Amino acid sequence: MRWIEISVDVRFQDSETAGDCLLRHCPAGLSESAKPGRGRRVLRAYLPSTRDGRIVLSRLRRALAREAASGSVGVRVIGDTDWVSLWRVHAKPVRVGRLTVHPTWMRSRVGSGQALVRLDAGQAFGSGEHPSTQLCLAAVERYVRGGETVLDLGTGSGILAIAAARLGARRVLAIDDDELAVSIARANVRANGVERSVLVRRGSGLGRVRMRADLIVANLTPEILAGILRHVGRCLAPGGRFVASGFGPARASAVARLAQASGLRVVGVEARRGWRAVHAEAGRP
Amino acid sequence: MAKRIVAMVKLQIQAGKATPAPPVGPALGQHGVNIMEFCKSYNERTAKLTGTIVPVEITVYADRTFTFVTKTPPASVLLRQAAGLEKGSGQPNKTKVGSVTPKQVREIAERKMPDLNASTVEAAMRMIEGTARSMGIEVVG
Repeated sequence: MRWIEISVDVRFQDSETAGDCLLRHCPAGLSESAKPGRGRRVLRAYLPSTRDGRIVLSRLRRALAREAASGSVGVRVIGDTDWVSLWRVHAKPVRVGRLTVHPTWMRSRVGSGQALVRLDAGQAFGSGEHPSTQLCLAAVERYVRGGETVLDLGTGSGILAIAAARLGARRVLAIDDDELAVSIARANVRANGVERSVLVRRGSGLGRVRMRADLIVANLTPEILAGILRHVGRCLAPGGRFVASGFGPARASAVARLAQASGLRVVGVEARRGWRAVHAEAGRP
Repeated sequence: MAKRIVAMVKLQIQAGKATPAPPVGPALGQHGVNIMEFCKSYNERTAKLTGTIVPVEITVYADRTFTFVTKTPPASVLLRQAAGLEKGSGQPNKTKVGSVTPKQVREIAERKMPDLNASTVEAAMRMIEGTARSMGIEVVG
């Protein structure tokens, strides 16, 4: 998709009014940069370069002329850049124990006993760079030895599900409520040749899940985790592990308490660059 | 050793809904920032404020790592919410589009105190009233 970029060069004292005008028409937001020493700011906002976008643009231009008359307005169309990949020149493979994760465009070799995950996260979460993803990868690497059943909640790019399959999990169910994530995860599953063991499904929570997993990984926000933890006991095999990440130290104890309240035993909290993962275990009969 | 700063990026975006699309992508991509990591952290930190614009200032360091601080929503956004309006007035001196109470002005001023260059709440209230006037919102009550 191409975008219409609207830039407004205004006096510092008029930037709030101009910003308000832009925000009303371009709800995704705006960026601002200062012009050093000149007491001016440049605000930039974007509209899709479609028929609807151009209709909003003409309304926006009229509104700017009325409300922020001191500003000079520039409009240009920008191409469809892959914003996520702009930083790829700096990308490095991620190594966690036996696992190596890197984008499909990168080449590498892994030795025997090692597992490689090649994936493009695109606009889904889970490139392997984020500390919470790495905490979950470490958990998968630790608990999957071969033959397990694994449940990946909020799979995003599919990274954790694919890692589990590459390490020998027998059956992996990956769930995400975002349609885009589901299609990206499915493409990554195929790219790694693990479609026999990994099933990607659209859904949210554990309400409809009928399986007993040896490992459940959930890289999600604490709000979503709270809902999931109500059903988690039912979906874990005896002695099965539950690993949750996606939060910092401030909320780790709340997640641990929720896990305990749902009948699990918290066995540890792992830390990585300001993020935390709670490890818990289901009881054995 | 202090980390060298290469850029400061300011964004006003929807709380809990940052994506790599513009305005985030063009603003951060040019500095080599891992956009997904920013989006995830920002969305986590602002999850409870969904539905409002939460400005953010991102500091980009020489090694492409970054830190960010979130700010209070713009006064105009808070005023429109308080007055129950979709937009401000096109001609603020002639057209009044709505009103807020002094109590609401005080609440907004108190909320925005950390980001305003005001030493007292009264001074902050005068700034908020100024913004209200320029939007065609009256302070009544």
